[in-house]
Amino acid sequence: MKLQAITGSLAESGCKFPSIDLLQPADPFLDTTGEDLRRRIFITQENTGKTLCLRPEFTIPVCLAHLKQGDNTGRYAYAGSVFRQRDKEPQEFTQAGFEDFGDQNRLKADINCINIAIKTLQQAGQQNLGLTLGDQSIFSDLLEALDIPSAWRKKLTRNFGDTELLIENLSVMYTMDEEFLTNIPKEYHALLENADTQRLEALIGERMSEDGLSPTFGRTPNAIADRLMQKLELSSAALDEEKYNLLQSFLAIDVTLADAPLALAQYQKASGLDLKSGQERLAAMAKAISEYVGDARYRANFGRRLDYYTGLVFEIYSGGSQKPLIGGGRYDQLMTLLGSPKEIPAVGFSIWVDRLEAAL
Amino acid sequence: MSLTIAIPSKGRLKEKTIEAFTNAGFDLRMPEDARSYQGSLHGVNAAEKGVDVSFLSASEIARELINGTVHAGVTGEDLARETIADADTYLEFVSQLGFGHADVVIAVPQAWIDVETMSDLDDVAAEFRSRHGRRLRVATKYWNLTQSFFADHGIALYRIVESLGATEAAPSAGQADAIVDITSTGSTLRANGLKILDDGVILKSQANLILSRTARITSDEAGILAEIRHALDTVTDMLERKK
Repeated sequence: MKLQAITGSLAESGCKFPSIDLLQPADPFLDTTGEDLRRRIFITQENTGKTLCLRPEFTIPVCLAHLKQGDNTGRYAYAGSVFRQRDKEPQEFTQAGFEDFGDQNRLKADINCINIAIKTLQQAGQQNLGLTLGDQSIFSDLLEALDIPSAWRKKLTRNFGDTELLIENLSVMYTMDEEFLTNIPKEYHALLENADTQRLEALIGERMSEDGLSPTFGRTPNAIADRLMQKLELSSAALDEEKYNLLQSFLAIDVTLADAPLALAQYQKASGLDLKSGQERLAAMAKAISEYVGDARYRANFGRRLDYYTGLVFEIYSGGSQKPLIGGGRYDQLMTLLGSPKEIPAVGFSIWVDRLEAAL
Repeated sequence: MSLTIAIPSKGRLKEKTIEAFTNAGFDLRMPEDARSYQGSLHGVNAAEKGVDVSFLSASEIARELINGTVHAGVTGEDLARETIADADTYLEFVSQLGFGHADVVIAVPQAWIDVETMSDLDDVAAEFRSRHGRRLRVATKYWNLTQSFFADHGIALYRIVESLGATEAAPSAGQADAIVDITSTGSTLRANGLKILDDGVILKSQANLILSRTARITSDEAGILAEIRHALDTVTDMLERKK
């Protein structure tokens, strides 16, 4: 019954409902989300050996449908069964959701996405909504402002969302020892110290061909030499204490969304780092959302550990449920991973319909 | 169902298991005719009539223990942990028997001079797609062990390529970039131009006496298993001390 209210609300928002097969090729899911997903979905095989899976979610197939269509922009919605290997919950359950592709005005699209999520829950009878919001782009801005070396920046951005892992890697960067060369075979030392990348590559190439490795199949001598030089550079550039502490205190920010712009402004004042665009984004969101959501929070460390998530992440709670009824966010890298030649901005959310049905 | 212990039915693991039970003072009797796989174990004080023994393949033993169709068994920890993701929920690893040693390790080409740790591999995996147009590939027959170990190290962006033999040759054959495989001395890996990552030992495996947590058992039967376990442990400890 609530499902009808949901699809009705999404249709009112001008969404198309593309038809998505129950049986999907598994590769797009495994390639984007990673091998770990294999344990959490239902995989089967065609006679030809092609790997298929029961639809584990809708976003990826909806993206693929959009790419096939070839339109610049598109707004889609979906509702139906998805299948996951889960311990204590049903393995077949219903998901509905919303996707907005191609809108270059990201802030406007983000706000619109959250508003549609709120409206949909309200139409399904949920009041007293609570929302948690994070934004990876603010963390990225901070890393840039702190002038963190790019290899580390990538690693930390990749860890964003898993604060324990993030802090662990920060600590490694902070306590970095300089005995980098001791683990590298001697014949490379002089070449590394003289930054003689050409001969370094040649030596690595020789090594690869001695071991029967193709220089083109996987990692190339060039890729290995590049990363060696990068490691050498990082080994003498331990993260200083001030930056380490600044990153820690940023990640600890956990305030109401209404207070978030002020919290960032205070942080900016204390640290001297420019986070103005983050402040503006959070202020705009707070203004748009506060009317509808009683309890909205901004948590600076809140994100998803998937490399195609790039900015906003949010979850909406209500009805006494411990688990979110809606999870959403921005994944600007997903279309490129799925084969799009150009970046297509993408934001959306999905609704755990079963939790919603069970909610008060 | 009467108390049943599963024993490997072939190879070195079978020989060493029989030796261990004999050293512990038991009499392990083979099936009476060649087509049967049912034997028996005698010399257990708590079991006058002897205990039923099933001779099964080492990987079958893990499955039977998980299903609870045998009460105890001897098999490699690697096989048991590979057969099911959260093995400790279903199995109790009670005794390490001191033979059948094999380490499950992650190895990469020696030419990857920049890669020494899982953290390095994480960096390489993350950039693989943008640099080489596909995900990093890991050849292995150990799907479960690989997936949990990589997940523990926060690495998700890779693909497993199934390899059922000569896994160490997968990188030079252009089938995979890295491998997860068993090794005892590492010499086969080195001969194939591979090296084990510093923190790349996934499991130090050996033959274990394993009890099923799913099989139903009476307190008398538990007493029988405790006696067998104690006798095996005593011998293993003695042999360890001699080394």
